[in-house]
Amino acid sequence: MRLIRNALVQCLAVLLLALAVLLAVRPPIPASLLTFYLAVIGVGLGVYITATTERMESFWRPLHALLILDRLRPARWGVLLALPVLAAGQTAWSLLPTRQAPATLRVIHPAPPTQIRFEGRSINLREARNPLRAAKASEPRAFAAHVETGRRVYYQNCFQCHGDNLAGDGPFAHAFNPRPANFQDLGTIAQLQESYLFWRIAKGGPGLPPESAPGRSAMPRWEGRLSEEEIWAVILFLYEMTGHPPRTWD
Amino acid sequence: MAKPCRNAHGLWLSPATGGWALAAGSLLPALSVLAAEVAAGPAYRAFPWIGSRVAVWIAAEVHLMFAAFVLGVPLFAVIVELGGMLTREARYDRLAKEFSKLVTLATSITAIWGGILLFLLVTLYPRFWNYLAGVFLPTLWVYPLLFLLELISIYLYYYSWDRLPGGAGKWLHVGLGVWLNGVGTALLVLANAWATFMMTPGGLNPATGELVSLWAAVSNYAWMPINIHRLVANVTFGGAIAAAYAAFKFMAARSAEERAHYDWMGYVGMMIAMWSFLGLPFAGYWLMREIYAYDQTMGITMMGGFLSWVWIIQAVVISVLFLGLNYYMWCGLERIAGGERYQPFIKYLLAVLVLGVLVWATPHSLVVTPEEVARMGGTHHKVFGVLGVMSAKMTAVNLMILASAIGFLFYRRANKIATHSRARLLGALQVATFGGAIVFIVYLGIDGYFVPPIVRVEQYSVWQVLAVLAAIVVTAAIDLVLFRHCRFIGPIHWGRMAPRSQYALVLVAVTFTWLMGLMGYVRSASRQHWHVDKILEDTSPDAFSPTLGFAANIVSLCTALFLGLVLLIFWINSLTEARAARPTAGAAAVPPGSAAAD
Amino acid sequence: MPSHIQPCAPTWCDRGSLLHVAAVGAGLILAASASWAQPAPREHPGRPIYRDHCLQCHGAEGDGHGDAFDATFPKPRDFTSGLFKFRTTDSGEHPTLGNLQRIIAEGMPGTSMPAWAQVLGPQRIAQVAAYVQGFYVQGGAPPPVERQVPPAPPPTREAIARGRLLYERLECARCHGRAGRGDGNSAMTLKEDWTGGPIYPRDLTAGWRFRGGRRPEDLYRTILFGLNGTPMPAHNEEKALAQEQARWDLVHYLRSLGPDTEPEVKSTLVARRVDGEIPLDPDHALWERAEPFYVPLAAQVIVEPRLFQPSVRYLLVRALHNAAEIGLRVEWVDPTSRDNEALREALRKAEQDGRRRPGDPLPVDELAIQFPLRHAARGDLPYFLMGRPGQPVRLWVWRSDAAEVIRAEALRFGAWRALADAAGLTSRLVYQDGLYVLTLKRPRITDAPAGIQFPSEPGMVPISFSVADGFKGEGGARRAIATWYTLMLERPPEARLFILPLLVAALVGAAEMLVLRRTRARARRGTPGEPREEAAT
Repeated sequence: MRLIRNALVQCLAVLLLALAVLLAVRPPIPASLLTFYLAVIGVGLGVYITATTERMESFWRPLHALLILDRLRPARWGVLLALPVLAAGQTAWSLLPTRQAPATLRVIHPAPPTQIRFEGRSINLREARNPLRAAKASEPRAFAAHVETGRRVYYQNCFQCHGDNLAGDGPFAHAFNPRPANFQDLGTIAQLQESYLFWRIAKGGPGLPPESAPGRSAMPRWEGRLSEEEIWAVILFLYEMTGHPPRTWD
Repeated sequence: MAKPCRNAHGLWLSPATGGWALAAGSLLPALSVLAAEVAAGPAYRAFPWIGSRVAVWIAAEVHLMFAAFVLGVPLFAVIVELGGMLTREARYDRLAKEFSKLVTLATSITAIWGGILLFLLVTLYPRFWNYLAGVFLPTLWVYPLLFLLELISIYLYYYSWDRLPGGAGKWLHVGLGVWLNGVGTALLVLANAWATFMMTPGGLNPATGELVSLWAAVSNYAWMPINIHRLVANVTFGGAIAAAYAAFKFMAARSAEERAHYDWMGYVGMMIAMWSFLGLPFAGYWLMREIYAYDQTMGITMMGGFLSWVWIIQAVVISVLFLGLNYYMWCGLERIAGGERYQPFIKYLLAVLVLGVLVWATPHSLVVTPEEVARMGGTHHKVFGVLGVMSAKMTAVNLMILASAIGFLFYRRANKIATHSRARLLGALQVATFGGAIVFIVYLGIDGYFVPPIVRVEQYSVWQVLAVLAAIVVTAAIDLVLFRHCRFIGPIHWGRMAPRSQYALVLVAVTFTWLMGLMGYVRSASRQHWHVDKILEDTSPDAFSPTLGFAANIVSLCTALFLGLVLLIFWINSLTEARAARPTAGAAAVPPGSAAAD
Repeated sequence: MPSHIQPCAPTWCDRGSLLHVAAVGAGLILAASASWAQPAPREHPGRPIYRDHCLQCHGAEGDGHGDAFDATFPKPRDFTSGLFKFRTTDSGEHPTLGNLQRIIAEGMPGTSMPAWAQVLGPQRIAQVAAYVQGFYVQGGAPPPVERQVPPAPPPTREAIARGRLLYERLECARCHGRAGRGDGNSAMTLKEDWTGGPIYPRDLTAGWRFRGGRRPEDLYRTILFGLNGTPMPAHNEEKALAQEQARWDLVHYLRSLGPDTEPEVKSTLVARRVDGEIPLDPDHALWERAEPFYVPLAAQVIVEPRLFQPSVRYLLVRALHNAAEIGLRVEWVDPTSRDNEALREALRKAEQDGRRRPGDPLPVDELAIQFPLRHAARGDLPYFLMGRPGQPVRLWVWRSDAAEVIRAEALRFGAWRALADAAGLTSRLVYQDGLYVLTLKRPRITDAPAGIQFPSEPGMVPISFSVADGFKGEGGARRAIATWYTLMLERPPEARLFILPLLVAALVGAAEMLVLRRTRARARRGTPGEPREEAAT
């Protein structure tokens, strides 16, 4: 019980617990996030220790004992030796020639242009609405037909990469980097307006701004291959199938 | 005390003031000549080594930081002075005077940097300057006059302090302070017009680009929100810098009396920073709304485009502020008799803050290697990706604010015992209010995943904020009733403060400065390759948007420059004080019984 | 009595007749009330699932003519035929319900049939399997007899050696090729029974792409019961495989031909640093030093003309460099080549059928390695489909009709212009048993203007690949593609790697000593505020 009350023991326990939880998460979290989480938790523990003088002393007490008590001499020298070795090891590890290309900081959803030209016509992305969506309330039959059109378009053109279940895991998905978007994920179409999807589908990877690495994207440019109505229909299908509502501004 | 002080300043100030007079007096008339010349001359000139953009960037940022300080501190100095006058407590008066002394010291440097910025703009960006001067010419004549007025007012305010000690004289002095703030605000509002015009220009004929209405150009979309945002931020910033100054003085203090004074000054500065800080998100929200109204693309560029990473950094930085301010308050419990009763709760508040930071700063676009993408099965993480969206972040931030408010209530009541007849009921009511707010916020946060985004943005986020504000107001009101006639356990021992808490004050000031620089970068970068958005294109070699890492380095450099100069001021100030060889009057002593924490 | 109660009856009877009667009565009442409430026949529970998840490929009628028909290869299964490849039933029989469920749950790797286990769950998979069965089973047909697959014994070296002899004795190589890469002499002449279209024998060296599963039991099942509708016969009557042990020997041998899990996709191809000359001999021991780098390939479905099923599905790339040169070794499986029997036999057959005239040019296989001509360290790259105007890429192209690898300038995807200057690029190609191995090397730094250079600093060059199998009609823009990867020149360890850690250790040690001395000094003086300790020296 006394052991649990000691701040040093508490901090080590929290740190180990956090590390264990973060490492146990599946799929594994990226190294950048892991480092960040551990750093924040470390800062939090620092605050915890120093917020009261009493706790600072409690934290310091075992270390103090380790440093001055004769009976702890072997442990003392063990720790004193281990720390520089660990520090040196960590330094060497970080200096080892890296065998990995640097992590990329790619903007997944860049700002869209205000307007685009689609087949010679200008479309204002800010104002564009999915013209087929209006039927949802008024003409359920027509709406169902639009969704069916979207389904056909999707399974004729999109599923090889974006997957049968719209989860970004089609048979070719793993050959590409960036990976095709997972529409089921909360972070993709659920966050976007329909006109944004229209822009992405119409202009594809080559239409991305530089910060989104257009040269890497395997998203084709569908302008010229799909009609405007087909694009709106497949957008409708994506939202209907995933159950996500599109983002709206009004 | 005043006499040697003034001499010392006079020696040091005259060249600086003269420098500005040079800028104001000789440069401005010359501008129109230059303007005529540049029509034929080059559009850009290159600054050696670091390039034109970085040169202007640094000059503008450092100037802005000093200006923010100079304009912000008088706002609360006057209030503190008025408080001192009404409560007849000498310590407030001394504090107010000390605040305004910092301002007089910083004014000259503000002017120098303003001059540098002007020189750089005119010489490096002649075409741009020519254009801006063409649009805003009348204001360019008003501005230097206002600045001279500001300069005179500041010196008058500070140096007349001891000449107008009481009675009608004091009223006159406070009136002078109010006048000073009026002039300062006018300066701010005028300069904001130019800056916001570059971002969201107005008052121009859309076909020809000619100026139609100067007033419309001044009162463009972003102008008023920026005015409010900067006014509030200046107070926050001034408070934070003043608190850092107090921290330095605290740690250098020799006597217990001095320690007590500077401990208290740091506390007041910190409180000013904290409470005004709470207003900033609202001003920021208004600004973003106006920007979206001006051009949605610009809004998305700032929030979701290549600048989106800034918001993660901002989250981390504001988290540092949250932790720093709370930490300072927690440390403060130790100087209050009875504070130890609340120390056990700190760890829960801390846990909320740390978890809040973790959620808030989890990025939507992760930094990942392709191997990690393959292992995650996509660029979004199945578990932690959930934290990267707005619902989670709003919830986290609101809970962090609530935790800070609870911490502040603890601090307030640290040495008090309620004697109210219904103390138990009122206490339970407070707990219930906080509990209800927390449940409500978390409920909205979870439900936010399942509602259309429009509901999430326009209703849930607003309700969450309202719940936080309501909880704070209600519990504070109950607190006032609860402790109206309370019993005190003991006094606040000003000066009995661990030095580590003072580092927190310094950290908060540095972080604030850095954050200000970063937000300046975002605001400017939102124009992308335009000097004046969609009106005057940047055709210089610097027309590309600098990367975030580069911007962070420049911001750090500006912060270091600013703080270095501030340290220089503090040091010079300490020289004059050493020469002043006091025993000071009884003003320094803090009455030991003054228990109120606020 | 309603039929659905019947199977339960014996158990219930044990518990007593009263219960039985009550249950039957309740069942009757329920059935009666249900039929009263719902006069229309009930929808099959698998039907809505089929409609939501299967119909887009397999069609409303189950005939495989769904929306995706044109965009898939292999084509979606025509259920009405009743011909199913993966069964634990005798050749020519229908599969069991369990067989269908298994394929629905786990999908077919390398086809557009995904695994549904995560999406649907076992109950709904069972329902939709029953619904699929309805497409080919007419009511009243007896269910197929299920054959048992016994558990697999562990593989041994001897078992694999015996399996190898069986592979030869059963003439598996006639289709699957000597090394199992699907390059047997008759490999390119086979037909399937659904549409009469061509079908190609499995490449046995990539176990993760076995459609019917990669476990030993799956191979056992396929060998024993064959694949209905394909030339793969059943072997349960085969004398050489009469013994249980022999069957497993063959399974173990097949599994020893290659890995059964897909190699990890990495981003960085590391070129190991070596001292000696970069060998052009693909079997040179130096190449063993370089880790094989797995490059999955996708069909080019992005620009017209598109390709939906690439013949080549992956590359294995190795890279080496020394002070002066850089070398690459690329291998890929292609069952046809200019001078292999599989191609010759296929062409002979095509000439007999009149699909080809004698003297027509031979199909050409291609491999293109691409590099960006200009790139920033972290910035964007040229379009990965061979660049675009203003963002050019440089190609090193090997074609089976040319002697040497050439340098070329990409014009658009799948088209390029050869450059006259070889810039020191030399190469060598070996084809054996369905495997192409191309080795090439070049000076790291050339004096060619605007060429690709491989300097040590920063030591990273983006790289990408594309492949075409001429026999399958690939070439031009119809080719298998890869995304951008990074070719990284491994650095020799630097001096600071040794100095800095020592420095850090010294600093940490010094700090420790400082704390130690101060603490002990203070403890000796007994400074108040520090915890008291009894015995400090």
